[in-house]
Amino acid sequence: MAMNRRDFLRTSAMAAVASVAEGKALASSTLESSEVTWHKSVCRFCGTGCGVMLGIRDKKLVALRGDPKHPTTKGLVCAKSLFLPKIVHAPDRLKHPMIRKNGKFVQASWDEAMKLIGDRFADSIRKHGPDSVAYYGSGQALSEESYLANRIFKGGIGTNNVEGNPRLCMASAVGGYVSTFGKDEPMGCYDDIDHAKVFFLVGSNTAECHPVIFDQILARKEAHNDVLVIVCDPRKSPVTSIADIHLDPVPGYDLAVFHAMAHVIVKEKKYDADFIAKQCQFKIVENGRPKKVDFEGYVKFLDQYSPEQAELISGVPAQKIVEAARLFANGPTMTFWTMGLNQRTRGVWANNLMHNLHLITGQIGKPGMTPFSLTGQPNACGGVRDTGSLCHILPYGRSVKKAKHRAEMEKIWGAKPGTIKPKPGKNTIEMFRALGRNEIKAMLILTTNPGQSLPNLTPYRDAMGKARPGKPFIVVLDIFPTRTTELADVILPAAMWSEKLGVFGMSERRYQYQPALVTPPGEARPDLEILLDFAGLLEERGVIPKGYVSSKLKTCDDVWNEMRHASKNTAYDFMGMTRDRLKKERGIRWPAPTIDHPGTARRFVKGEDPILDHGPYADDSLNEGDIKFYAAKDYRATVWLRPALGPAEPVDKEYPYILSTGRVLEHWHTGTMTMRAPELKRAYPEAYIEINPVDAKKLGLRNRDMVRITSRRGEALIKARITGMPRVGMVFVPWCWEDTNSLINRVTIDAYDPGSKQPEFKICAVKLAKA
Amino acid sequence: MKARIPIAFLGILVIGCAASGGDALLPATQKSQSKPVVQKKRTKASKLVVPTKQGKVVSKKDRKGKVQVTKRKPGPFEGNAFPPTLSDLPYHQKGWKKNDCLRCHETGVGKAPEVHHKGMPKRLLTAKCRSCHVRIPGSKAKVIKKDPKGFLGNAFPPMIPNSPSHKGVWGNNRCLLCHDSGIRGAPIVKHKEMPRILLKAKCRSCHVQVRVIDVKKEGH
Repeated sequence: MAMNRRDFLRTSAMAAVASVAEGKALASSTLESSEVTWHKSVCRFCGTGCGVMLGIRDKKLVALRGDPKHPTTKGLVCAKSLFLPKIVHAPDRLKHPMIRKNGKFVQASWDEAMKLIGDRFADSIRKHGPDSVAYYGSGQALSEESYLANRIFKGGIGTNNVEGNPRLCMASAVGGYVSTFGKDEPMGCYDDIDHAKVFFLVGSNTAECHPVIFDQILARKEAHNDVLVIVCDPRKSPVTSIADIHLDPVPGYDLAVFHAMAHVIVKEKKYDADFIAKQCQFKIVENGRPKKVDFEGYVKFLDQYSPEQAELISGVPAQKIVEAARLFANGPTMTFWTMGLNQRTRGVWANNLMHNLHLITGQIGKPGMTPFSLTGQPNACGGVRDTGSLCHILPYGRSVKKAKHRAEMEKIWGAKPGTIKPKPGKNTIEMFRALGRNEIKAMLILTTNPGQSLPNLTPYRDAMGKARPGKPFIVVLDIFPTRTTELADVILPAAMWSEKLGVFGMSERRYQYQPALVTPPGEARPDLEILLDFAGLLEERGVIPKGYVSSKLKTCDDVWNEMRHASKNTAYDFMGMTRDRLKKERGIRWPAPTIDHPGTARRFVKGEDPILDHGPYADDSLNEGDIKFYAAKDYRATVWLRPALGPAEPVDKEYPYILSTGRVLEHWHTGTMTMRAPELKRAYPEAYIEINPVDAKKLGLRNRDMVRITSRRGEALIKARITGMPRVGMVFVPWCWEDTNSLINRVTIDAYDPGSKQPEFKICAVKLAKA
Repeated sequence: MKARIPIAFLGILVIGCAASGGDALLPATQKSQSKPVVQKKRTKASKLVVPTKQGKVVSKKDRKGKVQVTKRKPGPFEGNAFPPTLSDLPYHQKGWKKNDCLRCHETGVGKAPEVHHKGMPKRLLTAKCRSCHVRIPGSKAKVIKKDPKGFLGNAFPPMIPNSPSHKGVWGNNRCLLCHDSGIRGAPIVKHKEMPRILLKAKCRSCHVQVRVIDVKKEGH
């Protein structure tokens, strides 16, 4: 066979590309090697929950490809996922427990490390009470791990100081869903992408942060001429490449745009009067208390937000707002949003206004019509939100403030009545502030990197690591050395993703099973085993009741079964999701109360949502397709009248630029994992700051000039990239690099939403100078 | 010029030769550029040469008159005291006169050895490869049949070179303008047997662009 170089190039490119799909093309001879076995699993990165197939040879992960049989992601995966094999087997994985002695880390045995942890936690609890210890978890931990940690701290030790990094990314979405619909989590699903004709992408760089979702939107748009995309983002992120309308408000002033869209919908009578009459109520907060108003009151409220007025506030041309509102009302509309709305001091309000638009147009609970908050982590939903692993909530929609809910969980956990405290614990920012004041004496940090990811980083890094009298004792479980492990007193090496079994719950309420297929390196162990040992040590030392954990939970399966029972007769009911089912099926969407229930595509819809058929929320008076917001007060969703307030730190003469942070496709969050794949690292090896050419000219900056970014809290030194992506007056920096100069979170602000307690990563005032 | 090469050989074995970072295709004298090149002339020990950043010869005799060579940490470009050579493989024969070496060697596509000119002055990076590199007619590449790191061949998506032809189109999903038709000599991409939805996907979802080539190579 004759072949020239070009043919060779074609052949090799085809072979390599084909390997990410079915593996039947040229690559098949290698990929289908008899030595390699393929196993169904789920991706480790964002909340999309892509189904993946893992190629295992000799207990080593040697390849990954998309799972074409996966019902929602259909074989799609992104570049990050494809490099997971190299990340799992990266040479610098943590392999042994380490204890800090005389300022240096020394390798230790598991027994020595765990004994030290048990002693320090028990000592702190005995001397200073249960609230002197805290747990800071992660939306990347498995559901069973988060649930168990929550159980140990709230029901065993008796402290609500249980938090997790979803506080930094999802809390405002939780606040939005709960305050509007009564219960957390989206009611729609990814199937709605195949039915929507209008996509409203708000504060979401879907193309880079959720590429598989974006690919599906793109595929739908390319296949149907009548599918339109509205993008609302102050930055021309890659999603704007498919936008039919791009609304670019000044960061922090978009609430006026959403009200103006509602204004147009109402004025042009494009609202669904019947749906509003049956399903909605209107509320405004006056003197700190919610007060009901009628539809006319809402219309009157909207009068102050005409498109022209919104243009003055937000900078978005009125005509664009009118066009966007008309498209939205025509629908079927699916709205996606992420951190652009959530990471704000008005994050809950912004979420409420998204729901308002869907409620007044009746676009909920029907195919292609849903407000959908995308999740940045693989298990923020299933692992932290659903298991109640935050300081104010308990598993499956329960609240620490409600005596009935506390009693229910104490019974399920076998805790002594009264153990769970009625007062919420400290939220993430307050928890780290308390750490800095030495009020919290011991903290367990699991699968997350607050030493890089917290806003206004400097004081919180000091809180964790600065030597001082009475410095708190910090334990970190992780898979790689990070900017947090360097601050720890004890580092425990954890098993990663494919090295341990458990459940991930992604954005559309789909719970998926992840098998343990690979041997962890060195002495690394699954987090759940470490937590079980930790509980045992506390039992031995008498700070939690003897047998509270050890007599009931011995394996991950035991924990899962208890979780299923904790969900029974709640709005989350997944009693039907047995381990066997999860192992066989490609995820199940809750509610799924019985073993033969296929899972629920759309909540609150009679005929689809089993919660309306059985249990405490059952209603036989409804007809097929009827909607009932069974968790909301009076069974009506709330349209909130929220004032369009701006950010916590507006620009001024001294700090004239707005800094916004985000991500790039090739790196994920703090880069702990993706920087371990050489190819991904080379794609974006160093941090950069995007500056609009108009601002760059004013500042005398050119491409690759080093820029000093200074806020009232700190500074960073990062290379300039002159581009028209951010609007004039705004700069953008991804936060994935860990070198000290690139730590942009030294600059960001830790002001947080009063409702959700989520910090305003997206907006702060900075000044720029050529370094 | 065309050569008769079996696909399997090209696709799986020959291109696999570079899995460890590129030494395999190079003659023995040019392997492992990160190590100092010590050229011994066996006749006279005093002529032991260790190139340094400053270009000095560093050798000395001990008390017994034996020559001691001090191995210093190599300078950024120390290993390339002589122009690197390339094997006379079919794809080099035709591609040689073009300046598109980095299409493969920057990206590792087809398992071509990735080139890391760490420390080389930027100006040189824009020069034609042939300015420095020499092809040795008749030379052969060493073939490594198995990826020594244990990952499956073709398990990862191909890298995309940061070549001038890609400037400005990255992120715009316009890759297929050239790669569907082969216009301007672009390799035609046919994602055979890939699920349809993948064909609609944005290329960047899977493909990773290499933006710089002078980043230190990682350990795997």
